[in-house]
Parts: sequence; structure tokens; C-alpha cells
Amino acid sequence: MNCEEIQVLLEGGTSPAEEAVVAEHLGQCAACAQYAARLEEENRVLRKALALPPGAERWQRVKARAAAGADLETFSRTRRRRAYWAVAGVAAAVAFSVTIIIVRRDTGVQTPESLAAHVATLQEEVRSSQVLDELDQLQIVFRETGDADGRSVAEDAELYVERLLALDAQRVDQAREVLAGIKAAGIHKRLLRVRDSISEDAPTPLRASLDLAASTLGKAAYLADSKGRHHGR
Amino acid sequence: MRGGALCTVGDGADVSKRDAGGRQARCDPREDGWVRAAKAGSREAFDALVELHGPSVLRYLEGMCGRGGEGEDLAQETLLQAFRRIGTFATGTDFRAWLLTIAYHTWVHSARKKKPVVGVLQEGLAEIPAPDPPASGTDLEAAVRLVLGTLPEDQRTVVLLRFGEGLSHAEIASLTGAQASTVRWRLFRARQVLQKALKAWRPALEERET
Repeated sequence: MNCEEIQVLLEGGTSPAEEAVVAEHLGQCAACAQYAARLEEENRVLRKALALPPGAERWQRVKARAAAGADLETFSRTRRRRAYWAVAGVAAAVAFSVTIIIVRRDTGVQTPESLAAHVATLQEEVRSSQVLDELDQLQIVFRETGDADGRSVAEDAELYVERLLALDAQRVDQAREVLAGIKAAGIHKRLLRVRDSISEDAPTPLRASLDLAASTLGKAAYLADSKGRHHGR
Repeated sequence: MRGGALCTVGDGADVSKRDAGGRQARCDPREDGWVRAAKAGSREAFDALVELHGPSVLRYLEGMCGRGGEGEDLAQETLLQAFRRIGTFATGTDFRAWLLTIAYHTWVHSARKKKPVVGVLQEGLAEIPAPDPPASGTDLEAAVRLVLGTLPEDQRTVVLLRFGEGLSHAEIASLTGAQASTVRWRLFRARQVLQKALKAWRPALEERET
């Protein structure tokens, strides 16, 4: 091996066999021995120059920005979990509507008892799907993005869902009144319009939340409709 | 690379070999617990790991980008990537080396997006004149950092990882996907540039030694 090859090996990370070759060469070559000695001092200077801790202010800034990013990630992870519930909610909505259709086909009318039962089921669904939380989040998103229309629809929807939750399912007249109010407001249709108007690249959870709220209130409107039929007959 | 490697720094013969690059000894016996908890989703544990090893990431990336460059942005991106991928971290391996691997790839990705790299005129690098009166240690270290900024990126990376972060040749090879012999060659080439550029500083340096 020539001197340059030995000097490359002096950079380290060598095998025992290579170390033996280097040691033998250094024993015979004064120039390389001197080079090796100088290397030690150079490495000390390099460590001192390059291992300084970064400025505290810059590090605090990086840490704070990374933490804010991680907070946002955590938030969207939560929303992805919620999206799962939204899908479950839509599936439940389909099952629920099928039930109503069967009930209607069987009886032709919505009896006070069946209406009370359906309202109670819907209330339970509202609680388990956490649609109110979703509507809260939607309001935050719309506020941040300056979407006044979306925000107003989400606020209205929250109001109607709260009314739905608050009513006493056994008090059929009260239930009918609230359901009729939801139907008249057409809030589920407004929610779907907002969903269709938002940008294609909007996060999926945003659409899923709007779908969930529309599905919940759509069912309420459907029950109001069945009341109308009942009275019509 | 193996877990707990950091905690051995400064503790005996094996360490002096391991620490040849000058790894900053930052040891916290709670690190293994933090890693397990962070993998299980604990944000607090992840933050503790970032507090311990994040400064290395910033130092390395500032070394790559130069102070006032994109180092801060890339460090932030690295920590966020680590947060996303913490579930994939192999328990028992070196967390800091894992972070630096992400930092390296973040930097490579960012450099790729920029203009094509034009070869740095390594041979044409001017010698940096030694100051008169003779240099202080601080001046010399500043000059080293200045020269470092002129090195080709593959050489700068190995110098920073070796002497700034104290990683072994094997760790640097694994991190950059290069052969250990390539790492050694890059260190050698970088040293030649440093020696040439700082030639005028040698007498002052030798004086300091004596």
C-alpha cells in the first residue's frame, strides 16, 4: 500500500487486518507517522468546532413549531377515528331507513308508539355518533377558513341536533313539532350543499362530518314526513 | 447500532473507541422507557426524547444548510416525521441515530427539489489567511465551519455526522446508505480540503499545542 492509501485508512472504521497493515506502515514511514499524529489534533479541532450545541433560541423555535405540527397531527388522527364513526353512522342510517320503510309497508302509517321508538333510536344514534362534537369541529374549521355560509349551516345544524336530543320521545306532540321544524328548515339539504361546495382536496373527515350531520337530520326530517302521511290518511 | 449506546459514552475503553468522533455524551436512563411509551402513543414521552436528541438534529441540519439557511425548517420537518413514524422505530436501536437518519433523508429530499447541484469548486477553494495577531481557538473553529460550508454535500454530511454527532463509520454508512470504505474516503477528501484551506493556521495551532 502506498502512503495515500494508508492515510485514507487512518480515517478509521478499519478491520483488524487493515489496522495491522497501517501499524506496520507507520513503523517504517516517518511522514505517515507524523501525519497520523497531526490527525489527532485536527480531529480535536473538528469536534470542538462542529459539536457546539445549536443556539438555544433557534432550538426553542424549532421545538415549538414541531410541537404545534404534532398537535395538528394528533387532531387529524382524532378526526380520522371520528370518520370511522361517521361511516358507521351512515351504515346505521341506511339500516334505520330500511326499518322505517318496512314499518311503513307493514302498517302504512306511523303510530305514536312507533314514532316514539324511532325518535328514541335516533337520539341514541346521535349520542353514540358524537355528531355534536363533529359539528363543533366543523364550526372551528369553517371559522378558520372564513367560510361564513358553512359556519352558519353548522351552527344551525347543531341547534337542531340539540333540540332533537333534548326532546322527550314519549311526548309525541312535542317530538312531531321538533321534527317538523327540522324538516321545514331543510337543514340536511343545506349540509349536503355545503359538502358539495367545498373544495375537492378538502380533508375527507370534513366531508364525512358533514355527511354524518346530514344523515342524522335527514332521518329526523324523514320521521316528520312519516307523521304527515299518518295525518293525511 | 444498539440501544443505550449513548449512555456508555465516557465509561471506559470501549467508549473511547466508540467516541472517537467526539459524540456529545447525553445520557438519560429514562430513555428506554420514553421510547416504549412514545411508541405506545405517549406524547409526553415523545417530547422528552425530542428534548434529549432534537438539538443534534438541528445542529446537523444547520451544518448542512449553513446558519440562517433552511436548517430550522428541515429540523422541524424531521421531528414531525419522527412523530408520525415513531410506531415504526425498532426498540433497542439507537434513537438518536434514527432521528439523524430521518434528518439526512429530509435534507436529501429538500436538496433534490432545488436546482441541480453544480459541482463545488473544491480544487479552487482559496486558502483562508491566518489572522494577525495569531488565531484564537474560536477563530480557528469559525474558520473550520466556514470551510465546511464549501465542501461537497456528501463530504459535509460525513464530517458533520462523524465529528459533530460522533457517529461511528458503520453508523454513518448505514445512515447514508454508503459503504464504510466510501465514508472513509469522503472523510479523507474533506480533510484534504480542510488542511489546504487552513494551512496558514497550522503554526498557530502547533503553538497552542506546545
